[in-house]
Amino acid sequence: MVPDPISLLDVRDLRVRYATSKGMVHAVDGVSLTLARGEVLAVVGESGSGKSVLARSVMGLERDVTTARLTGDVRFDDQPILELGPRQRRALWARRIGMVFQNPLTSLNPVLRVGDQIAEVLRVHRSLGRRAATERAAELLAEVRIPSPRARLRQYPHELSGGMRQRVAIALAVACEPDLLIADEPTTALDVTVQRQVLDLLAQLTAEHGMATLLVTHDLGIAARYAHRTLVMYGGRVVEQGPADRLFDEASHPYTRGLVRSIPRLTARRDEPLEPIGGRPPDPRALPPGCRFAPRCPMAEDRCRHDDPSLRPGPHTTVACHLVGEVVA
Amino acid sequence: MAGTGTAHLRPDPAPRLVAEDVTVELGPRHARAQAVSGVSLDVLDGETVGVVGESGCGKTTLLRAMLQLVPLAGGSVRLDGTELTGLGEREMRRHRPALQLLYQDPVSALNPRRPVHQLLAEGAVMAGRPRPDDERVAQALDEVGLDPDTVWDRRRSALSGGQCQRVNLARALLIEPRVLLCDEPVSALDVSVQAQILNLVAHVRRDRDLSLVFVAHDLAVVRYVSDRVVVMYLGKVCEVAPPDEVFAAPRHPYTRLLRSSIVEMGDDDAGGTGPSADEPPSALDPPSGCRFRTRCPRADARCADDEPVLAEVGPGHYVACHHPLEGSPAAATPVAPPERRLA
Repeated sequence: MVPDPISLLDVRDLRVRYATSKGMVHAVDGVSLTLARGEVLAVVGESGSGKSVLARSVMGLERDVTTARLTGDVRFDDQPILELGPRQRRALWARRIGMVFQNPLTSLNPVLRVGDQIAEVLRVHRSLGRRAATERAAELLAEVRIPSPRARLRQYPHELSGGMRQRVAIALAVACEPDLLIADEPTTALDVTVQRQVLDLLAQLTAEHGMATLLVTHDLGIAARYAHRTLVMYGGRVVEQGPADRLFDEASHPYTRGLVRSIPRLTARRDEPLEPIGGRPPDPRALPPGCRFAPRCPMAEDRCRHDDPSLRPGPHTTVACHLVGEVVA
Repeated sequence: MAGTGTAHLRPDPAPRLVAEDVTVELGPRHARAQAVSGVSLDVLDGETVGVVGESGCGKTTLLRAMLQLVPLAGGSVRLDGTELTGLGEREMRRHRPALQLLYQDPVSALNPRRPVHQLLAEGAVMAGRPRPDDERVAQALDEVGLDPDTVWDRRRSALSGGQCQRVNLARALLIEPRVLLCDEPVSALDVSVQAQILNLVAHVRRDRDLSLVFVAHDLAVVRYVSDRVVVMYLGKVCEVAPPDEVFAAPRHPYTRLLRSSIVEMGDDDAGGTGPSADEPPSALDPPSGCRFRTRCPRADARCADDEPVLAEVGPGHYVACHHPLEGSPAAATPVAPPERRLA
């Protein structure tokens, strides 16, 4: 397979299954994606759609889960992530791939001072001396807009607010100037006035460092504003992908359209009733045959319940739906 | 202790539920924090009052104070003209069923060992109502869109989050409350399920002439369900306004900050300047005067000395600020026309 020369990350037909006491869970089921340098790709989906498992698999983290079965190909800068040994993978982390998790309180070490945590990364991966590492750590805190960074270096995570902690986590993730940043719901645990600051910061760092960013979120608004492209997941599958700023206006998949219509928005008219999607997301232990969305889809036909649609070009996006072209507002 | 004022209260016609100048102090004696500080709010018959604010602003504590689940350090709560503050636990038990709470976590609000029909019947019994027969329980399930035959014997582990919230609502409705207090009722649910619950709550409210207090951090959700929106910051009310005005033409700098922090589909300019870099100060040691002044671009010496009190700035629009923003739409955050969506 010849990877796309400009794409930094190339995922082909990734499948992640877990053996559980209640049977096989198909968390990610045949996902392909590419991501180029300087690009922000948002992965949008509800809980259980497989978006976080996808992010963790790209990082190679799911390889360490003993119940997980991974197939497919994940190439990062032409290296097969899924085939690397633990040592080789660890060499990529921090240095080339950084990750920001949802909850900064659990991703930071509670008994180490913030400065020491950042300095440790720099000393291990960048072979900096103690003093140089501390110096750089202060610079990094300044870079993520933390006021009086030198004083903060000496504080523990519990002494910082949620927004500050997430900034520290971002500083850690970008400390070694990685090529790829994976951010899994980076602002879900934060207050709205802080959320915007953190996202603006991520966008700025992505642009400044020419990083590729994989942004996992359940928030369509965040995807629309901060990503170049968006990929919508449902039941472990990609159901639609396209340019982020237009996807939600010009979505073709009934699921994406349903999501857009079911979310109250500040700029919508209040007298327009919300149109909820009936039913609920599928249980990943018992996924329906055919199109995963068929049981909830108002337009489903017989073939939708038997044949699994594959992604193909639609009017504005790439979409996995038998009825594309026939779907009208 | 100066409150944020009562100018926005509507004594006539008599509101169903009134909280006046409510103050709640939490924490150990040496570190008392005023989680709610002189907050007033009233709810008319059949009205939905939305309360928005960030975590720690006191919105949940305010709900608990209305239910008399936390002791009030000051102020009063009246339901249909009856003073609830200071009532003994026994008397409060008589009144509390009229105020039902819908919780943020719909799953843990249900006893894991009881089947749905028992949860519903026992809720009514615990509230001092006669035990509803099976037919009434089935009706209540129907009303919230659950098929009684399917869910009758299920326990919460066999229900989704959205279904659990429907069960909670059915249980509350069987008690026939006067006011439904909703504490972030959809924030734990998946986006595609949220709208189902929001529509259901709106429907039930109309059918039953319920009054609602709807607390949430999601501005769009609050704007959608409310007839009146109350914005809280660090235990105080900063603005009270009709839902269409409050985010389109905010008068309090904090409301504008909230609005401009929202990133939304099809909203190309989410408040140009962007939010301030600061974060809310600790409620343990709130700033003097106006509590928002440490993050406010308009703050001056007066804001540190005098606490602003709610004053009317337009019909049904009240703001507690010495330097309120202009009311003209030009000064407000531009709002994208809704028509351009979903052509």
